[in-house]
Amino acid sequence: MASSLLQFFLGSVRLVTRGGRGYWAWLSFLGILMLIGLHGYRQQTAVGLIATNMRDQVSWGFYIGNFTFLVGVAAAAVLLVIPAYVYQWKPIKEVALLGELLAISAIVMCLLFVLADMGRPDRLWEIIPFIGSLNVPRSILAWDTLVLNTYLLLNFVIVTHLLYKGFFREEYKKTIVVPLVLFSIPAAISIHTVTAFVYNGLVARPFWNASILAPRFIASAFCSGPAILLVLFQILRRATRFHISDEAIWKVAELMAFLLFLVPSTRKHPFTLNLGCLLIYSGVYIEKGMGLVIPGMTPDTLGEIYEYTPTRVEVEVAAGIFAVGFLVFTLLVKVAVPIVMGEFGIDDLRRERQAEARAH
Amino acid sequence: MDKEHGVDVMHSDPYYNPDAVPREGHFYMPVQCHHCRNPPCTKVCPVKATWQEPDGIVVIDYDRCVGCRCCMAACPYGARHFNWGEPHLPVADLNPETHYLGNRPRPKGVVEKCTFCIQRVRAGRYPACVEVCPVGARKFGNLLDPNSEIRYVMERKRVFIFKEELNTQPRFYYFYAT
Repeated sequence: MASSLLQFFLGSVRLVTRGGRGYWAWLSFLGILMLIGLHGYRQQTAVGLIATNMRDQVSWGFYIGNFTFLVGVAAAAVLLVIPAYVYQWKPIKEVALLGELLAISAIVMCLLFVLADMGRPDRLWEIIPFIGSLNVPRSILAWDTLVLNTYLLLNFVIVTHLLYKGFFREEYKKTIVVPLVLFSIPAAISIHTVTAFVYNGLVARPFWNASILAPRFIASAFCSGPAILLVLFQILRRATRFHISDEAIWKVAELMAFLLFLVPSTRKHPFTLNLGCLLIYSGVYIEKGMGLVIPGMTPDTLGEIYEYTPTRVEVEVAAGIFAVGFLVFTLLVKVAVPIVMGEFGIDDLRRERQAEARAH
Repeated sequence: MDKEHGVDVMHSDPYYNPDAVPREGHFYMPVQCHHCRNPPCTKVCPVKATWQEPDGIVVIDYDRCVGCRCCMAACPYGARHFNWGEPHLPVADLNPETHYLGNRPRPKGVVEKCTFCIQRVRAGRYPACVEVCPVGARKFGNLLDPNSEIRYVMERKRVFIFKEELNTQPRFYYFYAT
């Protein structure tokens, strides 16, 4: 078991260190963004959160807005998982894995945004169940960390199992995958509703204190997540040999119930399809950041209006975190696609090793 | 606040600072931690870093607060404040008699609030704000004691609870002395 895990790991390393000029250029671009983010974060840790424009009046800002948006993106993987595994909808089944990869990257970004927003990231261990002093069942935020980490773990286990079995050219174990996939559906719903409840339960903020918030979160998440996926599908279709059928893309677009996607002709035309995705993506991004977090805090509880705009540090850190997320997604796809396509497995790894040994 | 509008935060000026007081048609309404009997802030804390003491004072453990600022979003009175930068108080201004849950120096990145001067009231003294108020506008005492000054005020004056509709059940009341 240990040696086969090691081989799986070595095979994955081999896959991610292999790529064309475009691949390395993309990785360097992400690397530069991450360095910028690190630079911003170093400034922030040096002086404290005063480096941001958040103040007592608007105590949550750009970071929490991004966090909320990305929770939605992560939850959206479920939209692909439901038809693929429950209804056995074939064209979507092969791309459901990509949805799960996106979910993993989005959750990683979520956790990093929360970490960036914390005043004392050195006390992160306090949130770990049993080790720290997690305030369950009272605190909704404590529940939110629980469901987010469960969802991350769940997707990680499913994806790793599928790829591990694929690497050794075996069929995946249905007894493991199917229950986990079924469990990941309520888990995906829960990460978004519980995040909504964090805002929802605050009687002090009338703007958030309404029961429509959780359904609204779900509705917008089911648009923003697939919007990103549709664009990624089209890129991956070009960049890799991974085959994604038009039907799968159209089906996902159909599920989103966006006006441009309700008409079959505009749903199927690449230009209007991408335009729709772009509109949805920017719309939900604005709705979550500028439209949800800031208005909830402005005016503050004592009627003061503090005009909040993120500082350079906040933008830098956010750019860095997005770069980390894209890096995670890129590396996961780089490993997943050849394995799922059956282009790379244990036998290929052995063959390559032998060839290298002979060359020496 | 304008007398014309009454207690309405939307018509108030949080930074009202005239050269002379009182000004005709205006009044002051200080807001601080209400030490609610049903505090919304302590419920949302993910790490049990803030709680209500048996005597009712809502306190924070600065050594456990992770700085998520959820309690600030939950407080309807804007009573919680975050140490956005490194707080620096001159050594000469430091009170050497400190309380773990009260006036000890706070680190950067944690939330702090009014503690009803826990280090004073537990020693039988008034909170500093009550002691220092030049017009005696603040009263502090034991509501359970029928002979206390605070009971006199509660029974004979017009008493008002800020944001009463939120069911926070504060231990902090406003009264009209006239």
